[in-house]
Order: sequence, then C-alpha cells, then structure tokens
Amino acid sequence: MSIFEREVEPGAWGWQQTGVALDPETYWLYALENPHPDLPIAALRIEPCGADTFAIAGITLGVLDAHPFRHERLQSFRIQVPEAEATTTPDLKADIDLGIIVRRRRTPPFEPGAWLEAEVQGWGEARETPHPKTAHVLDITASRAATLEVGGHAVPMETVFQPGGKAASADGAVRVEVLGYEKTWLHVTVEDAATGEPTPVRVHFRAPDGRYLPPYGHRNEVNLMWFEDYGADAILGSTEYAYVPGAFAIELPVGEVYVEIAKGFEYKPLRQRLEIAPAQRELTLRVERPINLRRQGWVTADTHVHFLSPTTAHLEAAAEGLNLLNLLASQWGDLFTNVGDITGAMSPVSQDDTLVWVGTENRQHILGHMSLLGGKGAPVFPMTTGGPDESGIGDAVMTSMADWADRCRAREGLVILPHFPNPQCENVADLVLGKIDGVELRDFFTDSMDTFGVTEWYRYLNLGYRMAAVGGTDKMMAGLPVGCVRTYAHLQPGNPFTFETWAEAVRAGRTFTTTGPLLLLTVDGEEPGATLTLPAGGGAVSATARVQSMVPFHEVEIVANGEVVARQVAEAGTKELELTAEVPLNRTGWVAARCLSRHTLWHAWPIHPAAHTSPVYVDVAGSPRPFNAKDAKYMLAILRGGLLWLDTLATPYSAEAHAAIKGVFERAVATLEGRLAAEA
Amino acid sequence: MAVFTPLDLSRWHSAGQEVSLWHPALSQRFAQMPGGALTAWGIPFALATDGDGAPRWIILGRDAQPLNLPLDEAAAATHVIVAHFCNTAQRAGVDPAGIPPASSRGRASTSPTTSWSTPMGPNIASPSTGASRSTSRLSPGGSTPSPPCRMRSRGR
Repeated sequence: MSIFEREVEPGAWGWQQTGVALDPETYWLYALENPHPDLPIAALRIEPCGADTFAIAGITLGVLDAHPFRHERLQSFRIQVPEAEATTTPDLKADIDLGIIVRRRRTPPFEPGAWLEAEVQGWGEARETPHPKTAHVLDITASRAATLEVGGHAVPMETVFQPGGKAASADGAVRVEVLGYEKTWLHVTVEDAATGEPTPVRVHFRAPDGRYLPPYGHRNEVNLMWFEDYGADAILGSTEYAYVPGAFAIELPVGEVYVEIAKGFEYKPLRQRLEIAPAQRELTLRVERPINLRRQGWVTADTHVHFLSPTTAHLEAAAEGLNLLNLLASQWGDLFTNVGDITGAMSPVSQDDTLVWVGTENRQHILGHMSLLGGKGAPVFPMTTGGPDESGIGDAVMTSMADWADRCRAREGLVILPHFPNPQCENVADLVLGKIDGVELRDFFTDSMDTFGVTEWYRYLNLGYRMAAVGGTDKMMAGLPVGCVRTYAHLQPGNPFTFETWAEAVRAGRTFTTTGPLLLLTVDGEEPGATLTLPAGGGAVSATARVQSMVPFHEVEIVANGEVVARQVAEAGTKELELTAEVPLNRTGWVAARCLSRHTLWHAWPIHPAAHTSPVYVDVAGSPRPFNAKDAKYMLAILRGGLLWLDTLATPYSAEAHAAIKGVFERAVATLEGRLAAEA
Repeated sequence: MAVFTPLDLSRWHSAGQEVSLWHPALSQRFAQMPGGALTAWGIPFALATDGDGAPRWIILGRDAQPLNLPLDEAAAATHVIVAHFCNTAQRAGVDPAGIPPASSRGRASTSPTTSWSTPMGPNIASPSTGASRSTSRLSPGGSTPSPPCRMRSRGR
C-alpha cells in the first residue's frame, strides 16, 4: 500500500514508512510464569520493595502452552476459504489474537510455464484487478498458541509454524498452509557471461506461489508513487525488483524458486527456475549480452532522473546498462531536491563506464520545462519561477527559459526540452530561436507512432528547425526504472566517452530515443544528424533502418518530411528486421526512422517498446529551408497566447525582467512572421 | 489455543495521572494512556476507562504497603500478565531538574527535545514468583499465607 494511501499525522510521515512505528503512549507488559500451573490461583500479592513508584493498569491471567509474548518468525500462509466465502484479499475478514497479520499479498496468479516462455520479459507484468477468490496469502507472525480467525472460522496455529505445517478450522471450512518454511541464506553473484565479472542488475526472485522474495536491504512491498521509495527498488506493474550490485545476499526458501534478471536493452532478460538446496550458500547466475552497441561507439543515457542519491543513481544506471545518468535537481513548491548533490562537474560517484552528472530541471508551468545538463560551475538558478505548481506560492516570473538556456550553454551544458512538448508556451520561442539541443520523445502510449510529442516535433522539423530526439524517463517514482526511456548517441570515431563527447553527439543529432528497440538508420551511408546534398530538382536517397530488440516489435517505418514513405510489418513480431527504401526528395527536408511494438512494458504507466531516430537532413540545391504556413501560424498562436499570459496573469518580478521575457516571445514572433511574409 | 481472563482491579485503583509522584513533564502524556478494554500484544486487559480523572491505576512503591489482590474466583493460569509503567518519578537530587526520563520510543514530534536515559545496569523492577504448596484453593477474599504470585520492584 502506498504510504500516501494511509492517513498520516503531522510529523509521522517518516515513521510511517517503517511500518512498525509504535504509539509512545502505552503500557509495558510483563508475563510472570506460574511455576505451579496445576494449582489454581486464589489471590495475588504485590510487594513493592524499591524507592521508585510504579503503576499497575491491568492484570490478566493466561492459560497457554507458550510464552504469551514470544512470536514465531514471520511466515507466509496460504489461506483457503470456501467458494461461498470468496472475497478479495484486502476484504478478507481475517484477524489473529496472539500475533500480527503483517501483510496481505496482492500477488497475481503465477503460471511458471507461461512465465518462463513469455515473449516480453524483464519489464513487469500487469496488475491484477482485485476480484473475489478462495485462496489468499497472508504473512503472519504469531505465537504457537494463537488462533487465526477467518470469516468467523477459528484456526489454531499450533501446528503451522513448521515445515509443511497445516491446520484447519474445526468445521474444516478454512485451511491454512505454511509456504516455504525452510529457508537458507545465499550469497548470489550475477556474472556477465562474456566477461565472467560480477555486474549490477535489476533482479526479481519469486516463490512458486508468486510471492516476491526481495534481496536483503530491499523492500518487500515497493511503494509506487511520487517521491515515495527512491532507494534501489522498482515496481513495474505488479512486479517488484531490486537493484543489486554483482554480489548480494538473499534468504530464499528451499526448493523451487524463480528468478528474473534485467539489464537494459542489450542484455537478454533472464528468467530461470532454480532449485535451492537445504543449507545452500552460493548461487551464481549469468546474463548474456547478445547486442553490444557500445563496441560500435554508441553510448546510452537517461536525460532526466529525479530524487535518487548520486550513489543510488550510479547503481541503478549500471544495473540498467546506462552509460550516463543525468540526475536533475529541482524545486517543487517549497520542496527542493538534489540541490546538495550539485557539484558543477561530473559526480564523483562516476566510474566503470557509468557516469552521473547532477544538473537541474528548470520549470515554469506555462512557459515550459527545460533540462540543463552538464553545466560547469554554478548551477542555473532559480530552478522554478511563477508560483504553483512548480515554484513557491507567490513567486514572480523572474526570468525566461531562453535566459536559462543561454546561461547553461555558457557553462558548456546541453539544453533539453523534457517530456516534449508540454508545457510548451515558451518552448516554441526557444526552438525558433535555436536555443534547444534536443527534445525528449517518450509518449509511446498507443499503437501508433504518431503521438502528440512526435507530431509536434515534426512541425518544427518541417519548418527547418533542427533538434535531436533524446530519451529520458523523468523518473520520480519506483514505477519508472532509470533508462526505461533512453537516448542512444553515437560518439565520433576515436572519441573517448566523456560527458563532453556525449553532448557533442547529441548536439550533432547522432541519436535515437527508445523504450527498447535499437534502431540504426543510414541514408546514403550517413547517420542521423548528417546533412546530405542533392542537386537542384532533388533525387532519391537510399534509407536503411535496422532494428534489433530483446522485445519483439511489429513495425518499422521510414519517414520523410513527416510522411511515412516505407513500412514493413512483422505481424507475428520479430526481434530483428532491416528495411531499405529508395526515398525520392525534390525539396530540402529530412528522413528518419521509427519502430513500434504492440507489446506492453509496465512502466508506471503501460507503454509500448518503440524507437525514433533523429533525422538525416537533406539539402536540395535551390530549394529553400522547409516551411509550412499552417505550422507557423500554429506556433504564432501559442506565442501570442504566451504574451497575453505575461501581460495579464503572470506575476512580474520587475519591469526589466518582464520586458526581457516578453522580448524572447517578440523575437520569435518577428522571426515567424518574417518567414510567413517571405513565403506569401 | 490460549485462554485469557482479564481481572477487574477497579476496587484497588488508588490514583490517576494527577498524582504528584509523576514527573511533571510526563503527567500530560499519562492522560493519553489507553483505557477500557485493551488488547495489547494480543492479550486482553480490562483497564479503567480514562478521561474522567478518577483513579485508574494501582500505585505502588515509595514506602507503600504490600497489596493483596484476592480473586473473586480461584483460577488456573500458566502466566500472570501485568500491564504497567514505572521509572517515571522525579528523584530529588538525582535527575536533572526539569528534564523528563526518555521515552522508550517516540515520534520526533512528540518526544521531549531533551531527556535522560535510564542508567545501564541497575534493574528498575525485578519480579519473582512463588506458589502455595499447601492447598490447591486459597480462601476467597482472604489473606494469602503464602503468596501465589509476587511482584517485587527494586529501585536503582
């Protein structure tokens, strides 16, 4: 259950996360064992013999075979109720006297055979809609003298805390069975099969009954939502994961256990049935990397992560096969996050081909959001302006996004528009004025690649504005693993991997954004970001899109000037496909490739595996820069709306600041109006 | 299966949170101690109801006399379970003035900003038990020639 689903008193938020906070206003209990329990007690005599004072609030006589305070260690139990009493697990009427029902498992049904053979692995499973059922799993710690009450049926627990322990109510209606009583602690090593070296991964262990078995140091129930669990845990749909270094400890039940391991887009997800032996101490698992774009000079990055500590970010990045993680400080009303992690340089946690840089996401709810990556020296502040819901109540609009972009670039940083296009009022001006290096494309939520973000990006490309396609998660919750949307960027041959060489590749547009498929495009042998030249009148270019993917995909398309010009469909799904097409171009424009799977990945929201390259640009001699009056007018409408907002609703910081912000809009308006007039 | 019998102690209640014996910094918190039918660690207790200022606890210590609690009806028991609190007085010349004993555990928002901890080593209470071997049933309501169960509180 999310901690925000619980009622939390002021000051109790931190304690609430532990799940074991005690009420400080309570009594101490003491149990005196009667050495002669066969003799009835007729009276009690209490003799004070110290200087201190004490108070007795209550006395209870107990008859039981165990110490009333001693509980058996926590175990999971399958509770079987009659068909007529089927209910959802949360609604199951269950209580125990001498113990605690710690957890009601919401584990979906688990079919090991189907799970092992599933086409999509490593990216979670659908959540189960609660529905009435007869088998439930409860985690219980209790005395052996306890009685479990289920729907009015009393089940004595005396015989269940042992291997194979079972019990039933007197009427036989409710049956209780312990699950995986015998356990063993294991040292687990996950090796990269190619190197034999331990490698960080995202891992999920599962009992045969479907229960998640977390490694030591990881939550059993991962909280999904915003700013809740930002440790090294994840939950994708109904599937919990832990981020672990190459070696870790876990207590597993003896016998049948299942494991899933994921590590980014180039490693083959591992699903395996294990047989854990009694007293087994070691377990070695291996992950294979069938694809290695890193060897071809590609590096992969998440442009957009929040809240993690730099060290946890490094672990998660390494576990997801990321080479660069941009951790972004920001302001959320009165809350500031990651500000103390800003160093103005590569984070010192960076190592082993996995870099972390703490930048900022600067945000204004009308003007737009802007990720400032890799700026050197002092950060670009303020990180938000203009009041809720981004900055503090009553904050004025101090500066423009254009000013943020200029200051970031002066620090050698990279300027990205996150979760493009929204919010987008000043985005338009900054794109028209050439202040943006890349846009995050990630809204692959439907069975079409013509998403809102992609469609808006095409408008700018069709007006001749160039910017790279990048991928970033905007991770703010355990439901989004870092790098589940990521940027692949191709370094210049011979360049070592640094933030600077990565940023150069993004600025040059040698990128693709992806939620899984690895999509490489060449046009007449040139890769994205390049500019080809055709003679007057144009001609044809040869475009080749090559896709490899761990998740089957179904469509690959080549797009020219926003129109699909070639398409190949694999109805049954495929993990590898190459599409080559001759693309006629009679005017200056662009060519890109995109790819889509109909399968679902369980990020915090269901999403499709998909990818989109940045364009290869094609200049046709004598053909002017692309222009489309309809799109230009669309952008002018947004810009004029921004000016109206500035003059009516925005809270000005000063006359000078107000004029400077308006100036950004006015320059963009003048540019577009000038182009409209020239085309008329 | 466990069987519990909460005892009604109301006829012996001698004080509530107004008692001057408590450390003044703690009396406010005592008002929040639970009352009525209470289940603690799965064990039922019949506590006095709170809120009316009436005596709700049996107070012992500081030269108090031993207390006999005859049961209305003799009963078998493997355990005698006591809900209590102690270590709450202000000891002149020993405790830092005005600073209460540390809460065993409390939320930051409700814990005293400064508190002292119980010194390690000395017991704050040391219970012992004894039982009659002379008879299986003691006279109801009478004194106990040999106490079936004795609690002993020993000062630090």
